[in-house]
Amino acid sequence: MDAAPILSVSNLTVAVGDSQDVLVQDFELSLGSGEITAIVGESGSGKSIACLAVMQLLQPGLSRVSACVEYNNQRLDGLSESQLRKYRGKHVAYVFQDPLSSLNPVLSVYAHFNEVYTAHFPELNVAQKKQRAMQMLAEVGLSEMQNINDRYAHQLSGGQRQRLLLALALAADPQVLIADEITTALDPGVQQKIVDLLSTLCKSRNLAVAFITHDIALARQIADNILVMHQSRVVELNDCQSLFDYPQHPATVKLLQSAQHNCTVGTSNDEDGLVLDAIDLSIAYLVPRIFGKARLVEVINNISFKLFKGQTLAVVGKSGSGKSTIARAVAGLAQHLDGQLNLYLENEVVHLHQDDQQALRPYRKHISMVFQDPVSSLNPLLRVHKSVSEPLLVHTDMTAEQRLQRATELLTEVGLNPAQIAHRLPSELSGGQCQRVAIARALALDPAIIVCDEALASLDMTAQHEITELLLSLQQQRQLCLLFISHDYKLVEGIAHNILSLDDHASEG
Amino acid sequence: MNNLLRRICFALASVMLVHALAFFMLHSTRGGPFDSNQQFSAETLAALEQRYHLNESLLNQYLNSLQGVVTLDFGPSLQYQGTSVQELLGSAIPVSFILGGGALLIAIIVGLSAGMFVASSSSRWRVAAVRFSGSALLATPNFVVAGILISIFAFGLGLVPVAGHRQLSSWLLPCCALGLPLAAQLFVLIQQHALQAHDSNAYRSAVARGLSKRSLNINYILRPSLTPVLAFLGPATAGILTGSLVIEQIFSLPGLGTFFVQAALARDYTLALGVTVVYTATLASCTLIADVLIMKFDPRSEAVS
Repeated sequence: MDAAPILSVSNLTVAVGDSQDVLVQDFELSLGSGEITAIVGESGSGKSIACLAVMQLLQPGLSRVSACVEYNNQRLDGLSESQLRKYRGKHVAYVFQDPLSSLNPVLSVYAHFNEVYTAHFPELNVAQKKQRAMQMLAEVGLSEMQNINDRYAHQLSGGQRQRLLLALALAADPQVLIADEITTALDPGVQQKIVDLLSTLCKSRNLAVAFITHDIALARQIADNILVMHQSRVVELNDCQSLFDYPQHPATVKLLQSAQHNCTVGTSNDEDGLVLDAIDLSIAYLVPRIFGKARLVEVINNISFKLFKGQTLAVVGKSGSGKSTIARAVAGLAQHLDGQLNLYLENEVVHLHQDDQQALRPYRKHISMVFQDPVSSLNPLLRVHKSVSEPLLVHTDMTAEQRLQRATELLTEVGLNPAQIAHRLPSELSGGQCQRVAIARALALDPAIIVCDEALASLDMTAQHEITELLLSLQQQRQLCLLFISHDYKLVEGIAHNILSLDDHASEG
Repeated sequence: MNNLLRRICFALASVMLVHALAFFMLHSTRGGPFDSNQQFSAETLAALEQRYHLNESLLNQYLNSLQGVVTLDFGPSLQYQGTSVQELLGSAIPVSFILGGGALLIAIIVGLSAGMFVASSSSRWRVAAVRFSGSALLATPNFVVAGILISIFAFGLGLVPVAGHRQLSSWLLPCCALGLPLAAQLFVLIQQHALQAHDSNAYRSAVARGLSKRSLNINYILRPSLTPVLAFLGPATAGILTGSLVIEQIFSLPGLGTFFVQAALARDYTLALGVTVVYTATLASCTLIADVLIMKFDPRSEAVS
């Protein structure tokens, strides 16, 4: 950093309410024009909260205890809400993680721009606003879309929404951009494009960028400097190359390790252990319409695959490619199936493609699912041991004591301490712990197949790594068959015996 | 446009269906319009039935009644001798509609502003006070609200008349009594959605773009919360426009509410069917209008249709 920083933050501390519970301690950051500084750390390390606190955007309940924020030689920390409003967007802009929920669903694209111009450039007339909006859209590569100005958030793809949010953030020509996990919710291909766009914008507009991410490999790609956060504190700040070559803090080392981690598994194909056989499977959805008849939309067209005992099949594809539909079908939850889906048990064959849902009920215990969002896939009102033993209540006639006993065993098996965890509520657990509980629940009935629908996607790198290890060791012990649904090729390469790519399939078809 | 036309046909069909159901159910219940009060001689009864076509076959009577619906001529009332149903309805509908319309206006203004206040205010004290009043109002039946309003504003302060509908000011109390409980329902509905909107990423992003408090409140809190409010208001409006027996009795307003009960009890077939058709038609049109407004306010609803 040669020139004076445009934004410098020091001594920033954030606490929960008025308590001593500190979420960010003595955070420091300085951003120089034309530079990208990545802020890296596992989830819960306080990186997002620290950046939100800079412009007083903290959610209610959190409070900034102390801060020194200097922007362009002006102090911003003592400003009132209405004074800060003049700086937000105009000088320091933010872009957040989830592009769909960050847009207003009832406003058109142009209406979003109009608001920003009305707030920060009240002197512009309608024609000038329109022209500026078109320029911004062109800058982020959205101008060639037809009637882009009149579109709404739900009519855009994830990548387009994130481009739009970047354009909106930059509409008032800010000097500083804080990008909070802006690629996390996107497909890998789109992720790359957004990252490229961000570097281009940084150079062309001479922006000072803070790039918050949990992915240190991604940070390496675009950042000039990397700041590592661990347990509420900044533990390391260095330029990108030095940080990778000579990591100083153990937390940095751990982050680097989980980024490089690649599990390897054998690829023996044992034809005897066939568990599930899908032959020419087509799956459609009934799309209801308010007026007129519902319409069938085919999502999966003629796909065949086999699942073997003790092996992992990964289904990989972009969002919307129908990978979750396959997961639902295997779990016996899809309704408009064509083709065959046979489950091979020890001495019988179950046709999962039959329409009679009632007849399938006794066989549902052989297949269980682990979902993407571990927190919302657990009943928030049930204590952990009850969640885990709920399948036993449905499928077996165990007594309450036996179920508690079994839940305790299962929790131990997934690496949790039952004495501590069993009587807690899901809201009192971390994301990784919740996912372990969800896995324990999936194991409760000793299933043949576990379908993991993006089961790692919402976890941070370290937790991802741990859950992967857990799944692999469970697979070896129990000869489990895993169906792994993911959008991330890199993630599944190391763990899957076979990979079914829906993107290739679509391009072949 | 095509959709709208289809919806209108659908609404008309449902009015016809409800009319048919009501007709046959009324006629299948025991007793007739001339059973009560004084005993008629057999000849008088026959003459009366002859006069009101009650001796014809049920199908013929139904077809007559259906024709009446189409031509908006429901025939003479069996209970109020010498008056036709459309005369009765014609004098009552304006009263009920003015009462209901006023109540609706009060409900929307009070309910929405209270909901918005709760979502955007930072004063915990005031929010708690508004919430408490909302729950209290929600739990209070409208005749109790009416009683309280009368004792304070009519008897106590003497600001407005106790009952009647000759003066404009006399509408104020009945509209409030009918509208305030609805306002409480609207408040509960909108505050839940408004608080969600306040916690949303969209709101946070908009704050980060430096938008004014006013445009945040209107575009990021009120507008996203309107869809459920409109969906609720459609049927609720129909209910409130077609009169409330209790409120109309308390304030002695000659509205529709009375007819609903009297016509059914007295087996006044023509009046009961007339009231039913008015109610169903109001319900169908209010729902239709609400749906159209939802489509206008929420672009996502078009994606579903």
